[in-house]
Amino acid sequence: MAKIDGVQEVRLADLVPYERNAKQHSAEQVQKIADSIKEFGFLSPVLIDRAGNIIAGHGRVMAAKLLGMETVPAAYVEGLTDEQRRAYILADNKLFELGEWNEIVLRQEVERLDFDFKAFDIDFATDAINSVESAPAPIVCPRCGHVLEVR
Amino acid sequence: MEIIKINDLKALSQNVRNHPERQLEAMVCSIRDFGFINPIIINAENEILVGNGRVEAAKRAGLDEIPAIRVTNLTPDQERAFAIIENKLTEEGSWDYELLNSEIEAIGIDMEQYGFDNFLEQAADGSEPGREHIKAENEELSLDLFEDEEFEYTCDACGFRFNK
Repeated sequence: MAKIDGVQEVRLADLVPYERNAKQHSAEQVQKIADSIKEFGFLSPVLIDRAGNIIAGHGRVMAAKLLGMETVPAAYVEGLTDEQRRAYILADNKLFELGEWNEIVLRQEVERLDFDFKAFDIDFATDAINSVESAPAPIVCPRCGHVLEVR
Repeated sequence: MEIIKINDLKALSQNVRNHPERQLEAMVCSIRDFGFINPIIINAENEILVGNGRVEAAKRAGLDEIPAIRVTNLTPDQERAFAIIENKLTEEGSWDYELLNSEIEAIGIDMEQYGFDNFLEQAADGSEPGREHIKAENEELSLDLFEDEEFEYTCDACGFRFNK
């Protein structure tokens, strides 16, 4: 089982993106990540191996380059085989995808918080509000319980 | 970074993300096989900004402590806004399905346990990257043998086709 032993600043120039990364980051997404870094800081460290290969954080590294940063916080992952590294690069993204928004809580938060979500060019707030107020009976997958988006 | 006891962690507010059973099970598999290598984000009060689902999975996997990044310079509203924006931005990435299927096939690890479809990942809009990726070694009847039109709905999470 792999582990990380701490976070340190590493040079962006030393990081190597995975050349077969199946996760794509549009220019628009990278710009928003860059805006988030400016607002909140670079909080979640990039995961890398000892050779500097990126295991998680490709989009954040692209955003850091866009901002002209020279270093980013990174954690060295020890103990993954090459095959496990390739598997984790995919799994790290997929695991997130299996979650869903709680749109009621999301709407409450967006309404309640003293924060300009529109500054991030994020329009999900109005989408979420609309879908909560006019949602028909949900269609639920009988196999996995996922609530389908009704188009 | 620090190592924090799971029992010391608290919720920041009501969670904006739901964590279905299928996701938690896949997270437990990931923790079991890879370890808990992606630190959660917490504030000065040990409240979780990002990583609620992974904390729940870590408990199930029998862990007592996990790595965490402590953030102390955000206002309370910024902390909660960050929780939303971090999730939203992660969601905005998209898959190159051809490359994804090629990787799933090439990696000698069962990727289904982490939530992937071992036979064919496809875009939520129903477009298919090509059926040549389907492996024929499974003798069981596959749902892919049925025509798509026979079913009213396709689950965009697991690909299951069904009628109401």
